[in-house]
Amino acid sequence: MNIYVWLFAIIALSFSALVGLRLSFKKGTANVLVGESIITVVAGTLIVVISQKYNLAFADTIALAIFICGVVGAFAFCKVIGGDNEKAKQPN
Amino acid sequence: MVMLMEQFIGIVKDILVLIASFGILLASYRLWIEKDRKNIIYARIHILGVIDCACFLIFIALGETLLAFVYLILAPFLAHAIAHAAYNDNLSE
Repeated sequence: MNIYVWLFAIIALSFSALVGLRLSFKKGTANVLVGESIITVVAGTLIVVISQKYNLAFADTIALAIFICGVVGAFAFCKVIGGDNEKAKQPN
Repeated sequence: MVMLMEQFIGIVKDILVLIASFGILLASYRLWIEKDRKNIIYARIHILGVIDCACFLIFIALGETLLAFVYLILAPFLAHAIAHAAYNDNLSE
């Protein structure tokens, strides 16, 4: 990969992570969830992109673990906030 | 000929990463400057989806197929869960 393209990717992903972090401090729980999800997505991608130059061991496995843990955590929090779907309670 | 093909594929990969990075930059910039207003949360959830698709493109370019499709498949479920939670927000202050 070209060094300048790589640097541009790193800068874009880092900026995106900062934006996600800032969103996590806004008012409202859904904003926190969106910010957290952006950080997990971007952090996983950052690890894989950095691994292109510096050969981190198991970078793709770590990225996969980060993403899945982030998504599962967001799902758990969404279940607490959103509650059950009312119409699905009584199938009769 | 084979070397030429490899160089061509390398250039295409670089272009893909460049396009995806530019998309991530644009989406994050809009996320940064947008003020809080009614129903802005759904636009933010959509931007999350855009960033996720851009990361999918980067993974395809870097050859991480498993990661790419995990990201692609889980993103819409994540967006739906957050939107549903935002709509029914039981923790509203």
